[in-house]
Amino acid sequence: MSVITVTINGIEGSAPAGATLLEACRQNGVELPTLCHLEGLTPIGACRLCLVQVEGARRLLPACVTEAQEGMIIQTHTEKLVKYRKMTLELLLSERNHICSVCVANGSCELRTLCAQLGVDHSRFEYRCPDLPPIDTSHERNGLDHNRCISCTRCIRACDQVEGAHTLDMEGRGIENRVIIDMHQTWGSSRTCTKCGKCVNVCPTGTLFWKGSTVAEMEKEVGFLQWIRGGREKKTWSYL
Amino acid sequence: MLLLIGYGNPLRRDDGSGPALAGMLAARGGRDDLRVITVQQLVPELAQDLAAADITAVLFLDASVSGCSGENAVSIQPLSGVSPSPVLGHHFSPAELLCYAELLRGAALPAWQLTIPGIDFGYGEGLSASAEKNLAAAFAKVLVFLRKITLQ
Amino acid sequence: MATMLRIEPVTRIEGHAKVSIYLDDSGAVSEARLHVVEFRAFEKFCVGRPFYEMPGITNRICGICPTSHALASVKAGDAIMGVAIPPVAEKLRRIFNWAQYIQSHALSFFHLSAPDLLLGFDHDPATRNVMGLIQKFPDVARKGIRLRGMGQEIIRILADKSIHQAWAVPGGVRQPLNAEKRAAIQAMLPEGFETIGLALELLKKSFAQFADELTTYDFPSLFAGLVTHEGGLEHYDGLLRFTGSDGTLIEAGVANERYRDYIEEASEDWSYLKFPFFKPHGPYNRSESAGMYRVGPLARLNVCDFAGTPRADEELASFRKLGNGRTVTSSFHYHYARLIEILFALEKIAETLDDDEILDDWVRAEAGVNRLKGIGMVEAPRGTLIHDYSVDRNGIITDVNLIVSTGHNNLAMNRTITNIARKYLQGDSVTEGMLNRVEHGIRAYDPCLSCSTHAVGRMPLVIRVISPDGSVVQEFSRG
Ligand code: SF4
Ligand code: SF4
Ligand code: FES
Repeated sequence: MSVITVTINGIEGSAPAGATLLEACRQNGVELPTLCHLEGLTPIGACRLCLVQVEGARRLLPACVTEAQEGMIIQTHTEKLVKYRKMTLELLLSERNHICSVCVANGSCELRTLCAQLGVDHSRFEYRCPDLPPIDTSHERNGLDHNRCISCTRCIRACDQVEGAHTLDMEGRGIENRVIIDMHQTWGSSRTCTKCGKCVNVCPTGTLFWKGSTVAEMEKEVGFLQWIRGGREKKTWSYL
Repeated sequence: MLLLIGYGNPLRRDDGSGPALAGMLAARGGRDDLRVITVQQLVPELAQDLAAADITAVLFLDASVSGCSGENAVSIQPLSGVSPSPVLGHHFSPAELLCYAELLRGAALPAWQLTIPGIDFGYGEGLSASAEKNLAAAFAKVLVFLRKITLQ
Repeated sequence: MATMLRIEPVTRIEGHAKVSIYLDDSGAVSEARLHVVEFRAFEKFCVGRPFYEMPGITNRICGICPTSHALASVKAGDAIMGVAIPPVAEKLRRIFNWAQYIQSHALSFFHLSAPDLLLGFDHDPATRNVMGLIQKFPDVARKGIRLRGMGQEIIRILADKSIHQAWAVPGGVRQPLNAEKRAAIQAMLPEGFETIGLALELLKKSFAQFADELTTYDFPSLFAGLVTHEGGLEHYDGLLRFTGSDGTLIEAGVANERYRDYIEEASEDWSYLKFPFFKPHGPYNRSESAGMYRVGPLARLNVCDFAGTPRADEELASFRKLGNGRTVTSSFHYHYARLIEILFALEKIAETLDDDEILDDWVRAEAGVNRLKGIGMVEAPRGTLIHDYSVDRNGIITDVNLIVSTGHNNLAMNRTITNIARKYLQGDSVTEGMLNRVEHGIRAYDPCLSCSTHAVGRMPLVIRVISPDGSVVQEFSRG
């Protein structure tokens, strides 16, 4: 396996050829915030939190979908990048109705954790307070509350790529988009849903939850993606 | 050790500026002679925190309804333990807490109060633009204040 | 035209309230009103949420008694699930509730009422406060802080957080108790008993100087509160009992689901707090106090046949001697009743912890939606608290009705301040002594109209005297 050299924040490091910038950064001990990315699902570069600055590039590049090239000089935490990341989080908060104090995901929410890490405690953008479809608890085990969705599509990809059911999908564009079940029906009436719960586990927020969960009770477990992928690709099943 | 108590209700807009300031100061870190507490209301048992052996002074961080803004809107005033007669509610004023703290520790505790003027105390999260500005000014004021009191 | 004196909000009330005193043409008091001028939209914004989120939402109704709202809410949830929760979970919830009594009653007695009670109403206003209390009774003040802290600490030990906890959940509780936590709670109890003993002694000595108030606060009404199936003092579950002023049983034990047959809520356009009344004695008529009942500590001790713990029963016997042997009708004795309830709570916590069964870790029942309606009724420190939810088949809330403790006492509070104003208003001028008594008259009920903003400078206490032509003759401001 050939290795390439990159410079991250002024320090030289290496990465396997074909690695993404995100992988290159993480392998060299530089953490980048991510939301739509999840190890084991196809990266899509939707949330823009992992944006980095590459010397010579005219735009900022999402690290999760950009391949690292020999000799690249990368900045990950410039003032401008940090400012953009904060704005991105604030926009996410303003687009739906996040009431963390009574949310099932309080304490485990990735959005909230990132906000805390970046010092975002409210949004400077006007809250849009959208009218959303009612909360769907018609499913035997899972619930869906659109108030907290950040449209990262992790659930949709897990359902499609890992479970192979493709029950979940997205309708509408931009601010109007909504997660839907099958051809726009209630979860309880879906015939494709296998009730595996993968979507709930990969959802970074309190949007998807186990029914009956009370405030701050959700804990999500994403480790299964690793062993399922390992088993499928390398035929070695390790349940650690 | 200086005790910082930020109090107010973050679900009532500008009333949350005290806790917000406390949060900013806690997040700033870098000093081991500060202890930060955030509460929704002042309650009597806080006197026990005020009277902890290692506490030598206290600064209360609160919102105020004066509604002004600008350079001098934010002020830090020294406080002492005198209390008005209790009326009907269930929370305490800083002055009453100081009375109790003095009782518990046997000597008066040097105390200050910083107030951050707000204009919107309705339901909801997040500060009004004006309180936001005052919060930034308050943060700067506290930093100056902290530098001064460690010199003493 | 009638004259109106208005005592404006009240610096430290949670939720805004003000008092108006109406004079008739001859200058005598015709009526006093307590206005609650803040509307809280809880009943509206809970609609559309799953019922199991409700304890987390409703316990934010109040920073003072969140525990009670959480418990009423989880009991409504239990009812929707149609489950009997594991017995240990019920015991843990009870300890949680008793701890709430200790902290809440300690706050009311030691911190809010003690300056009035132990120093007297006519004590110099400059020191008739916490400071004066500390000067004269340093030991009481110190112990009071610790007792309140102890209640909070027990709640924290059980729920890992002392306010807005999500520990109690529909079906049970989230974490069991362990031996270490139990020992920590047990170690605190002896000091609690000592403090309450001292407070009882001091309070009883003070009665002599309040002869006037004792009669002014005295009026007939019904009393309501939960009792055990055997008729004992109850705070968490049980049947709703109504008794008359003389102690006669009016309704011995109403099942929680049937509360609407007995309680109806009226509204007045001058207050957001509703006026519940005892329906069989209706129709609603405020000036005649039709169907007026009192809830809370005084009412609970009046409706029960016995307390059920040795020391509380002993105290209850002397309490009853202050009335007709069974019922005590002066609202002044809410204070005494509070102390007896702290004693009872301490004894009950001790007794419940003594049994090793309490360490069992089976504390949560699981179930889906089995009923479309759930009613949760508990005794909050201030009185009976009712959460009444309707849900759809997926457990989504379609309707909420909350009857809060302070509401039940609304008619009685208005009655009390009317009595006080009649007795203590001299001419059309408000005296310090009268003001204090009006405030104290309300405080006897320890009302909680929580809205929890408190920012410095929010609404000072303003008193206006307005002559019949509408002009302001006198204006006071304090606080
Ligand atoms: S999902 Fe829940 S915890 Fe996360 S930001 Fe939204 S409301 Fe807050
Ligand atoms: S439901 Fe969760 S996982 Fe799916 S798009 Fe929304 S936030 Fe992402
Ligand atoms: S993590 Fe890269 S764009 Fe979302």
